[in-house]
Amino acid sequence: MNESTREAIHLDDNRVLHADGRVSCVHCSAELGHRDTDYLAQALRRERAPEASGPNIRVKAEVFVDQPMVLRQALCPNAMWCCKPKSCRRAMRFFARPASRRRENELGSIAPSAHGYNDSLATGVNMNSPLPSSRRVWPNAGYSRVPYWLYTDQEIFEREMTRIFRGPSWSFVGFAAELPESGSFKTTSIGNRSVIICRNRDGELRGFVNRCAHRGVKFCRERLGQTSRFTCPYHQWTYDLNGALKGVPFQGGVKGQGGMASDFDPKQHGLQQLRIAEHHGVVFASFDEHTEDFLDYLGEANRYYFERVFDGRDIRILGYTRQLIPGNWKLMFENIKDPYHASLLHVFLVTFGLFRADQESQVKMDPTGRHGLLISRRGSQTASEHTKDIANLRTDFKLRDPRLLDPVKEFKDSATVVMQTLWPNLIIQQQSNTLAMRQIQPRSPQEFELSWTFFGYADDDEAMTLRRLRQANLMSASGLVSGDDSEIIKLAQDGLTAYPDDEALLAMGGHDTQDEDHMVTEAAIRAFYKHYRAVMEI
Amino acid sequence: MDVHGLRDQLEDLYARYVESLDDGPLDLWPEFFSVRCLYLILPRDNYERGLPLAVMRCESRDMLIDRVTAIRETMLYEQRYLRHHVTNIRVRAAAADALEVSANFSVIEVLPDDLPRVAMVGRYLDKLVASPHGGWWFAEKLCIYDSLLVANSIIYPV
Ligand code: FES
Ligand SMILES: [Fe+2]
Repeated sequence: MNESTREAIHLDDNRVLHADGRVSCVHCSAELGHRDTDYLAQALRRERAPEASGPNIRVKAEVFVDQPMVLRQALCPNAMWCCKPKSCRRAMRFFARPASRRRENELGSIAPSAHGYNDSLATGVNMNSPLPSSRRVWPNAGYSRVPYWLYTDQEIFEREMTRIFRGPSWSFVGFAAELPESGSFKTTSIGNRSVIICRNRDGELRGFVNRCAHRGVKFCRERLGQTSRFTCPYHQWTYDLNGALKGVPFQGGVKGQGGMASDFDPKQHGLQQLRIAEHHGVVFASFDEHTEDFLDYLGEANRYYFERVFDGRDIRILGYTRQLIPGNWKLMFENIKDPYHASLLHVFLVTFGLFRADQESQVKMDPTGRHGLLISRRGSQTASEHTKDIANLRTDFKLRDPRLLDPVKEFKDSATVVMQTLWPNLIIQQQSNTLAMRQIQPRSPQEFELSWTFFGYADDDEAMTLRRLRQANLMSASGLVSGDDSEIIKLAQDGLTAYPDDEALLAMGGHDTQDEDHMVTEAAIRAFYKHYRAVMEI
Repeated sequence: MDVHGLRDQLEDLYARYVESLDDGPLDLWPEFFSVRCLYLILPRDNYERGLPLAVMRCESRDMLIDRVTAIRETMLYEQRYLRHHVTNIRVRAAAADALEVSANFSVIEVLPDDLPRVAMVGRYLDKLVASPHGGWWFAEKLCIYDSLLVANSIIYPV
């Protein structure tokens, strides 16, 4: 045994990790790779505990943290000379070629699976084949590059669901005003999982998953409603307003026969619980019991702007609409954290001076980079020396019916636009007098739902409500402004999907992630990815 | 009132209305409305819950014209072909100079690199008034689409 193996960690029976990062075969000491550059690096990463291994059965995080994952498919190539050397070599060559260049029956009587061969094994021995995602490495330019595989890869998506949406984060789920009475409930999604938020008999808000603890049925199909209990239609298991299992039909059997196993304890089979946080009538939920308190999570600067809109007044819901956008969910955050595009893509905004590169504005992030603020003040419909780059500026378009844009000042400061992005699923929109929550619900790497809740205040007069409804023309699926965004997200996804190994460039405003007093920057997107990479450990 | 004559008139009106959207020119579309009018595209859930939010809201012919100008001049979107299909036209109330009409609509959308798909289904709840030039104008047109979920964007009117 040489020097380095003494400090080596045995990953399992067949592989050792050396102090210098090399990984070798324990039998023949062939080098299998290096921790820092290879897929082995991924396998050595620390995994978080699954949030539950079954309904209400929580595994302590400590059980998993700091444990290297087992390398399942990294066999030593030498181990392949095990059986029939000739056929093995042929099989190796076969799998080293791309599928399009393999001939059917080429392997003849060899049954590759019997030897443990498969594609992922082959990629382990042929360094020229495309990298599977677990071997993907972030480009070496800090946060000013984003690799395109991030928008298409299924494994990345699963990891996002686990680490981001079910990790230590607070996801927006609705308004207290939507759940006015005991028994009021709402279904929504956190990441790709359906959840129920409900007010129990004591008037407290509760959250749990919309998945029956028996055999997985998504039992609640209503978006908003009122009930005294939840009953799964399949075998009629019944849960109370806290998600506790209260009834199992035929639990004691029928005529002395059958029935639930004697060790069945209904208390262990309630609906998996979420934590709930409410601040000034806005409701958030978290899958993770270790998530910090909501106000700490929000941070100082973001709290100011949050409370600017949610100052404690009662909210009036004006309506909902949902879009299914054929793009990766992160493109939505990038879009809202990107003031650079707003002056160029959104001709309507620019034309009417609602948002323009030469107006007084700020981009702010919280210290982690996860939340962001884009703040601006309205200007006028005139050209200036700074608007010459805006090829689309239309100074001649006058509204025939100006009631569409008749903004009035209603907040304590002079900002007329504040777009606040809260990790991991919320955009709080204040553009003039149109207020909305935009909730991001990823469905797959290529598709997310954007769910809009438009609101005003209970004390708005009729003129103000009408003003908000008119200005809503700027937003959502047919928005004079945000319609541009959903279309451009589709075009971005269409463009990047075929180029997983290329990368996006985020160098506007340099390479840093600090706050800025102008709009010609992509710093907020870089900050987002700084936090993203830390959470994802990629 | 001559029911069959009225039916013919309405069939013709809706056919021409749809033609202005599908084959253009889009400038013709506002002409189907009275000067003061209400045009809304809204999800069925909002309508049934009494929530006022619409994704497209125009309160006058001028606002309809502004929408057409925006579609032409300011909005970015992928080019598409649309086919609106209007069926089940039914007169729910009739007076000499005013009608209430309902109808089903479905919109097939064709994007350049995709197969045709159903972009939207729903129904119209319309109020018509007699136009001074003969024929009918829409004084109110509610386009209530089933469900809340929209296939990405609604660029053109329904
Ligand atoms: S699956 Fe819900 S009761 Fe059986
Ligand atoms: Fe935008």
